[in-house]
Amino acid sequence: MSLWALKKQAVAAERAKPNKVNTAQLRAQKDVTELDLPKTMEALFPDPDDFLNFELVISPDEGLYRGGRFHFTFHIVPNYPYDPPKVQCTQKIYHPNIDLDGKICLNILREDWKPVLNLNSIVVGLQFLFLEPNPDDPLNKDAAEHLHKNSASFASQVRQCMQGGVFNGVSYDRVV
Amino acid sequence: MALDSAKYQALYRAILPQRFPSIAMADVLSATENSAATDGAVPTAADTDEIRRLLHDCKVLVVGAGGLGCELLKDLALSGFQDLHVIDMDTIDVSNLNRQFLFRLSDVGKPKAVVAAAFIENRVQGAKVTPHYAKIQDMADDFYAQFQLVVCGLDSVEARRWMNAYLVGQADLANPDTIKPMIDGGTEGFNGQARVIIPKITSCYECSLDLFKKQMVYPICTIANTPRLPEHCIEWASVIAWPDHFPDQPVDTDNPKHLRWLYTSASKRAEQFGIRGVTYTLTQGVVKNIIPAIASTNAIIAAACANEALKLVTSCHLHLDNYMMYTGTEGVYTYTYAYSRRADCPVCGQESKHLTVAPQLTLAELLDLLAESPDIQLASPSLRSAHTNRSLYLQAPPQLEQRTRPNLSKPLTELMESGEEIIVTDRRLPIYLSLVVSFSP
Amino acid sequence: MDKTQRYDRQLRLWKAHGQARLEAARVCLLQATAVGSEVLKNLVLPGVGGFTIVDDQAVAPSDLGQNFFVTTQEVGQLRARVVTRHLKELNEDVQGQAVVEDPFTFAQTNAEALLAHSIVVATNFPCAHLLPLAALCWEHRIALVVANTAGFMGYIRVQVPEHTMFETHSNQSHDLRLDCPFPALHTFADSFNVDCQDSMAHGNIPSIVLLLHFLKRWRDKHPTQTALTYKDKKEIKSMIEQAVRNPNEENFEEAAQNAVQTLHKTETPDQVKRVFEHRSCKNLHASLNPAPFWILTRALADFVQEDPNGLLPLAGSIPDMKTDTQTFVQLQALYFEKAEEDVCKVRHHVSRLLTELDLPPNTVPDDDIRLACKNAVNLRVQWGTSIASERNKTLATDDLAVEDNFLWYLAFQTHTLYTGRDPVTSETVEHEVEQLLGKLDNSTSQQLRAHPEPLSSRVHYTLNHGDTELHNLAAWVGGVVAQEVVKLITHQYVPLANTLVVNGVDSTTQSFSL
Repeated sequence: MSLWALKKQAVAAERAKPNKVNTAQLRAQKDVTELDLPKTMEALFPDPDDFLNFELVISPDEGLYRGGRFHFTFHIVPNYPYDPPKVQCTQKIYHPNIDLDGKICLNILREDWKPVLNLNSIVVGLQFLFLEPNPDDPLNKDAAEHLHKNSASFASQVRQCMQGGVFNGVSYDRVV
Repeated sequence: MALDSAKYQALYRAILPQRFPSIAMADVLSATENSAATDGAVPTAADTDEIRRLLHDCKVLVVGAGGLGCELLKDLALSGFQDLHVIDMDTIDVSNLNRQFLFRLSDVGKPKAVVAAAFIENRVQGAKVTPHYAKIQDMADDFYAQFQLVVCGLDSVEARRWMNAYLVGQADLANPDTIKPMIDGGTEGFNGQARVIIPKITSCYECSLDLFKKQMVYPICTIANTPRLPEHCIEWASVIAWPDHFPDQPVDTDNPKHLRWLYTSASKRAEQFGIRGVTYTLTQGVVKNIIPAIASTNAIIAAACANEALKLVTSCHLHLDNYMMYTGTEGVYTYTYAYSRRADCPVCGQESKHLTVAPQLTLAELLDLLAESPDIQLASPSLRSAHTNRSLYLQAPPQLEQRTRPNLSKPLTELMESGEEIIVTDRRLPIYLSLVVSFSP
Repeated sequence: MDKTQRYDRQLRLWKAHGQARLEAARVCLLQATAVGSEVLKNLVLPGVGGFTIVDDQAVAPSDLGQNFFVTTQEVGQLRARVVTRHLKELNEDVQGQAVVEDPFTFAQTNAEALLAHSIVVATNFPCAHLLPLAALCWEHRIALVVANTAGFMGYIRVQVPEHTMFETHSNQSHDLRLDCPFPALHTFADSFNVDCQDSMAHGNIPSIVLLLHFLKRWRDKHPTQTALTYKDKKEIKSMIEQAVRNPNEENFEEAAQNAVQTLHKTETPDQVKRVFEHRSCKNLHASLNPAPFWILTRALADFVQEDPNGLLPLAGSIPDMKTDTQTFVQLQALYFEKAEEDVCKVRHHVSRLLTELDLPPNTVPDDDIRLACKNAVNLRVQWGTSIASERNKTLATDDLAVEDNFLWYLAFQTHTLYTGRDPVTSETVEHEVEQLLGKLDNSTSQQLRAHPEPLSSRVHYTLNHGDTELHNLAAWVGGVVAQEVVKLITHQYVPLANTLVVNGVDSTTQSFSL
């Protein structure tokens, strides 16, 4: 069989593959087009036809983190909304509830997720993390202890880290 | 075929007195129960032929060749079904052998569907079983179109949801051939359930999603900082330690080396925190989300499902409407009831509308039509093609609104083909509306 | 071959000690019917020790459409051997034996061989043969399970004189003793300052400590009251809710959520007390050869007698709760150590009893003492009834509803069922119905006499379909029977007491205690 014939077969197989809209996509369309974003947030879709992957930028205008631009990736999994979307912070930042790998400690992203929740619930949760970082439920333990012991010193460290640079051996991203 | 008649004598005699003279799948939907009382006739050759024809002509797809699948294939073959297909993407593992009785130790590593099909064909003369070593999501429409009935023996919520949504999506009440009943079985330990889903007629799998227990998920901060249970240590090993050590290699839960690594690091962490109870078995259970499974429960649930298949196809008795729960932990208790449809079910509760419009209509004009049309009345709809997945016009967020705004002035002919399905979402709709737009000639 | 791997999915249910019991058991099947073969399939797969099939028939063409464990090439060969051979292929660790003899008279001709088994399964047995078999099993205290099918209907009867269990797997709630904290728990709880200012420390006080603390506060306000009412518990709950400082304090949320459920009075369940009152426990020293179960039960009863609060041994496990690792591990250790102390006391009672009974010290293994202590609240005994006594009993039903599945039960009790292949005549049916009506109390029999059709049609149905088996029903009933056999052998989970109708037309089952 010639290479051309093989290729033709592959194309035919690709065409024959059903293009089925799944329930995750249907729900994602509803959730995305009904996103209520405050002026401090922006959703960016690299591909307007792909609802399942996008970026959210949070620019807090109050609190310790004001002035920063924080990037998060959202990935809506095939079993959405039965399973929560996967959300990660793409920058290295100094935050008690977000670790240096970008993992986020937000109950509705894991143990408390329910199918009745939607993307708006998560967006509100993320916003809250920047307004009220919670040292009692730490993911970045050092940052949490720091905030717990001395909130003024913590605040100034946050401001410094947002400018980027190496602190205590960790290289933070510039987010302002 | 003297042997064949003798072989299925029990079957014909049990079915015969209650059966309907001629049955198409559509009639089954309105079938009523005949009393078991008018029993006792001896089957004539014509009657036997009729039942045989029904069972031979019915092509059944068995989804999953695991614990339930093996039982289902046996039960359906011995119920006289002769054209069975089985689809499964898995290969045989040693831990399957305590219940998946069509497999032997020497089969470990081979595709389940292939081995199961060959075994049944070899054991039950006359039964044809076609295996598909594949994912259900990868099969084309014409594959599913050939079946009259789908029987599922799956262990994942995700696969069931997919199969259910697909069959409901294909069902058109105006065309009975498209309504393919889905019989679904599931087990956990000594308990299980069997149900009959008739797309767009009974409640569907999605309607009852709340019934299913979710996998245990632990808070990430507990895992990272305040582990208390052995499970927390195991999750730490798989969610935090593994990606740290092997950033480019996802955990393969079927790889014993990976499991061993997770077990070792979980044990170390447990020791460090003074937590007892991390074992290899528990590690496996947590990372693979293992659900206990035994032969007897699979036998019960699969038999109940195959029994429903027989009732549906021959109409000898009214089929289950629509849910049977089985509990074997305290004596034996079953609860049979009709699970109600959910009006706002995202799969079977959504409306479908047909519109015929002039081909030169612009997308903006179509939006006006949706707002004005008395039976639609959607003020801010977002539209997307179900066929190409292309976004036609989206109300929000701003970036997507801007990117899709140019489409508003385009004629529909540039954006879609006649007869295409459009998925419409709007704040006023529970989930979505399926809109089929045809161009007037 | 690694058994832990092969049996992984079931070991998660009944654990290694349940598996050991299964592997020590031998099951005897009388008649290699489809239903019987299905029962054995479901026992061979999980690794039962061994099985015997007693059957003297040759494989008939009709078996091919019913029984998966025969093939076309084997028509005419001895069914016991064919089915045994195919079943043994499923698991090489299982011993299988075919005995080519009349299964109906085996209990008379080979009682000794039959009684060498741990459990007997009789399928599609005519009444006349079932009664002597049931009597023999009852007399020798061997479990008998009867499995019948007819068309779309199935029937199961479990006959066990006495079935004892610790591991019922039913009570999943934790034994926390909040109403009567043991001294170490008391001291531990007192070491916390619930009003502390540090927010981290406040948010990490375990819910058990919070509950103990607020219970104490409530008691200080109500010094005369001893038992807590539902209203009192609600009040304690709201006291906890009011003490919350911020919405992140999951520990307070947990304590409030669990207040009503966990602040109950710790006591010995009534069904456990009933077992303690039974003569096998009370008059343990009078029995000739007391079973380890009764020695353990007596040791537990003696423990309760001695306990200052009159309570059973502590189970020793606690649920996960929001707190830091160190506190949780300490709390866990407190419960664990108290449970160990209790095990120690029970162990002393056991060895004292063994000395008094003049039995060797290894009569009750230490693991069993631990299991008994851990599961003491679930301790349960089922006392069965014999099939003979059921036959002689007058059956009473609810006056208003003679339910469908009860009629199917009756239809499985006829004398001519499974006796022959003669066509069923209306005379036979009438005669059988008359016999069945004689078993019922007056009001039920009158009701059925006025409308005999529902019963007579069902009697006709079972008689008509009794000589053949529908595979689906055989598989369904075979599955249920295998579950029951596993429960009986492992002494885990709760077996059926004692009769079940499987209705394949309505997809229902109904159990009856007869």
